[in-house]
Amino acid sequence: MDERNILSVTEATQYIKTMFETDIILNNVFIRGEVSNLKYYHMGGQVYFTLKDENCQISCVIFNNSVNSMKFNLEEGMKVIARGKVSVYERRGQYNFRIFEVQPDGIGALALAFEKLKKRLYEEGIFDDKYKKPIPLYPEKIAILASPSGAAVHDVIKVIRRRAPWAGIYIVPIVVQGETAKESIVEGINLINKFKEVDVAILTRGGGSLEELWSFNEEDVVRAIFSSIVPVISAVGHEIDITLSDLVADLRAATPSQAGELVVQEKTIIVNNIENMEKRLKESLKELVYSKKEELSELCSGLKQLLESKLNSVSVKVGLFKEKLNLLNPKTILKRGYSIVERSADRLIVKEAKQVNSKDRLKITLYKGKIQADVV
Amino acid sequence: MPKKENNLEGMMKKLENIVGSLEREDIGLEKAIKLYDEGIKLAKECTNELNKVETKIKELVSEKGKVKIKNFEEA
Repeated sequence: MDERNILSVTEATQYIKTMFETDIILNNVFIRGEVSNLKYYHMGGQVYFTLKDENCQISCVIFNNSVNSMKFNLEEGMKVIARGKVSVYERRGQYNFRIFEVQPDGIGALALAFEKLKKRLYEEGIFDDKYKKPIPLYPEKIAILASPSGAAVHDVIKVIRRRAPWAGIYIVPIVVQGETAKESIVEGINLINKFKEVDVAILTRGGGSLEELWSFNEEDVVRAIFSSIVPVISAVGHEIDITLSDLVADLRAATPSQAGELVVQEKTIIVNNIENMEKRLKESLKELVYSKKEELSELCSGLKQLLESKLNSVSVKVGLFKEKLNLLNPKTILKRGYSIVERSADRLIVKEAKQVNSKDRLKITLYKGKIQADVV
Repeated sequence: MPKKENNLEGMMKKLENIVGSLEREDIGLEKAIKLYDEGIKLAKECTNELNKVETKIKELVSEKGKVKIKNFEEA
C-alpha cells in the first residue's frame, strides 16, 4: 500500500463533491417526485425535504433566495418538478439536491398561485356581491384603462361612440403585461379616483396566456379595484379567461366590446324610455283631472239629493200645518151649524147677551151667506 | 363620482321619481300640475343631453402627482 494513495476523509469527500459538481447532467437537472419530510427553517429561510418515487428518494434543499421567488408553497405529498444541481454535504457525507426552482407537476405554478390567492381573497369576502357598486345607468364620463395601442381600447371606444355619442371618453394608458404592469394598473385606478369626474371605469386587455394576464391576478391590483370609489367594469382577456380582477370588479364583461355595450345603453332605448315617461306623465295628469271631475260631479249630485230631501220634508210639514190650520179655521165650525154674531156698529164679535142692546144691528155669518138683523 | 344633480343620471332619476309620484293617486291637482311641468321640462333636458355629440377623446395622465388631461390620439 502506497502511503501517497491514502486520502483523508476530507480529501475523499472533496473529491466526490468535485465529481458531482463537474458532471454535466447533475449540474443542471430536472427531477420529478413527491415531496415528503418537509421542513421549513424560518431562521435560515431554507427548506429541506425529500423527493421520492416508488423506489428511491433524494434529500433536497432550497436556499433562501430561491424560496422567495416561488409563487406557491410546497406541501407534503405534492408532486413537483424541481430544477437544481446534485451536490455533497461534506459534514454528513451525504449527497443532496440543491433546488433553484420548483413547480407543481401537472398544474403550473401560476395556476396554483392563482387558485391559492383566489381562495384566500374569497375567504376574506373581497368578491362578495354586497361590495359590488352599482354601475350608473346613464354615465356621461367613462374612463378606459387600457394599453393605448392595443385592440381592446379601440373596440371599447368604437362601441361607446356608436351607442352613446354624448358620452365623454377618458383613456388612462396602462401597461397590461410584464414587470411594470401591476404598478401601472394600480396607478391608473388611483388616478381616476383622484380625478373624481368619471362616472365609471372600464379595465380592459385583450386575450393572452395566464402569464400574460398575470398582472390582473396580482393582489395589489385586486385590492385597488376593490377600494375604488369609481365603479369598475373589467373586460380582461377572452370569455374563458377569468382573472381575479374580473371577480373583484363591480361588473364583468366577457370581451372589450361587451364592456362597451354594458356601460352605455343604446340611445334609442333611452329616448324611448324618456318618451314613455312623458306619456305616463300626460296620462296620469289626464287621469287625475278626470277623477277630480268625477269627484266633483258626485259631490254635485249628492248636494242635489240632499236639497231635494230637505225640500220634501218641508213640504210634508207644510201639509200638516195646512191640515191643522184647516181644523182651526172658524169656517169649519160654521159648517157644523154654528154662526158668528157681530155688532155691526163696531164689528165686535158678540159672545155674551149683555153685549147687545135693543136697536143694535147685528150681522150673522152662517156657513153659507150672511143675515142682517135688528135687535128688538 | 360627480354628485351633480343636473347630469343625465341625476335628471333621469328625478324624472322617474316624478313619474312615480304623479302616478300615485293621493296627490292634489295643484301639486300634480307642478310635477307635470317639472317632468316635461326634465324630459326635454334629458333629450337635449343625449343629442350632444362628444367628438374628442381625452387622455388622463399623472404628472407630478397631479391629474392632467390631454387629447388622445387614436392609433
